[in-house]
Amino acid sequence: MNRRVVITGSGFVLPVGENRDQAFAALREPYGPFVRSEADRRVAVCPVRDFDLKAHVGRCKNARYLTRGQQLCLAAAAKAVNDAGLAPRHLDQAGLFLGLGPNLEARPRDDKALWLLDCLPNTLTAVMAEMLGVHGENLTILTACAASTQALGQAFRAVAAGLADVALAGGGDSRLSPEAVRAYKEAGVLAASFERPELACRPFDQSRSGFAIGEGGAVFALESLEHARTRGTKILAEIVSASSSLDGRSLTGPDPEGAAGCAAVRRCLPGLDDQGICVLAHGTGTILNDQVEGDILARTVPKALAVTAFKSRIGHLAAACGCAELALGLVCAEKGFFPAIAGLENACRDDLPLLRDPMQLRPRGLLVQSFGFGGQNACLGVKPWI
Amino acid sequence: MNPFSTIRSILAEILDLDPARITPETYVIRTLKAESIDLLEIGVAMQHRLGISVNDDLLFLKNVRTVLIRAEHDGKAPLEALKSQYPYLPEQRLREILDDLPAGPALRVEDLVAYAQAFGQDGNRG
Repeated sequence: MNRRVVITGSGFVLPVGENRDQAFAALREPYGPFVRSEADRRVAVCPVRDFDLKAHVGRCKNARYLTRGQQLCLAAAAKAVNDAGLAPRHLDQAGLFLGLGPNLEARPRDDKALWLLDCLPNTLTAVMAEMLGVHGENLTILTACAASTQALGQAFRAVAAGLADVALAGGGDSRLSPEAVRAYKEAGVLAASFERPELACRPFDQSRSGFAIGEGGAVFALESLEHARTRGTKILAEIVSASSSLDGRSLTGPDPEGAAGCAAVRRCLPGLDDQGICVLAHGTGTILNDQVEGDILARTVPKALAVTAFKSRIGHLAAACGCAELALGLVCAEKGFFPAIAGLENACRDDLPLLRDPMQLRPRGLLVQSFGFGGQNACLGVKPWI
Repeated sequence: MNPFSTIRSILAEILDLDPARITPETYVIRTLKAESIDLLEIGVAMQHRLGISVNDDLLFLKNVRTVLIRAEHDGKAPLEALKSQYPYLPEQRLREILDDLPAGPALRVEDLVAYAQAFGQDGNRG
């Protein structure tokens, strides 16, 4: 079976807001809402302000075992279900595919019997299954910054293959804690020596020095096209391709040759019109990522309409980045407006249509790419539903 | 010091409930819907916050039915059997538990308070 798969709901809780209007208004600003980290003033972060899980899901006693990133994901999932108008009968056999990160704060506790649950990444999957009544095919994916992109890809495959008519897929992450800030800093991947936090992360700029840390959750409701049509629901986009690959080289930086990353991108191109693509680049703003990613794009999608990098506006959401960026990409595609890559002044190359200025644009395809620690590559081809 | 307020805040926190809903007479399982993993957490939290040593079976009256079955088997009076198993609970409370048992798990917040008072570090048997 190879069914068409569409996105019928999008739920997100991001530094730029938690609905389409808020996000779009924030994306029209020159910069994202970055601040200096409380944990380390030399680090730029992009927090979700005033997040309260209860405001989204009501009473949730099991939230005690969830990280902030997982709670953001849970809130996003509830919003996605709501946005898609899915009822319990649609969710009973639905799939659940989540891309999550580690709990860097988990440790043995004297005051908590089941602190083991803090360490288990599928605790969120279990909480979500109970809360939303989802009991079908599932995966909890932990492939670093490629995780949520890969989760969406696996959900796409499950629905396309007929293993589920409906699936929820996405991710959530938050690495703003002192432990996480320290971990990233010691890994040498954070933007340094910036004057203003909103100018710390500058993807594809010659003066880029690393990324700024964001947080958030983004989850999509996927359905087979037939199921969505039978239900008569609105359709936001169609997923046409998904891929993943492994560099098998460095544990941290990308393979400078970019061979596996290139292969992942190429596998997503069939189904996308190569002249109508807007690339939602991984664009971390690290020296090496942007160089290798730029090379990959120049080789694979030379005719792309535009290349954007939402990390310049919300920071790096780690495991959740791909889905968060797709959520924003769909908002922009619907509005026909893409913002400039914030902080991009002197582009590191001139052979790509990097968005230096905002652009009126209605792309026929979005290419999402995520390249994570461990040489984890994941890509998606998505067509906005017009 | 009466441990009720500490126990109430532990229950409110672990069960994610408004503390105003919790009185000494509230049923922990029947009304507050505490599940087995919640009881585990409540036991550890009481141990940690009140500095007492907790036996979950005793604290949560887990063996009431077993005790009563054994008593019947041995020809002992139910009330006497409960008294010897739960010496820290007043006789009046044990009578209530016997009457109440058919309606579901009898554990009330006041039973947790009685346990904490009996097994508190300061030996306060209230």
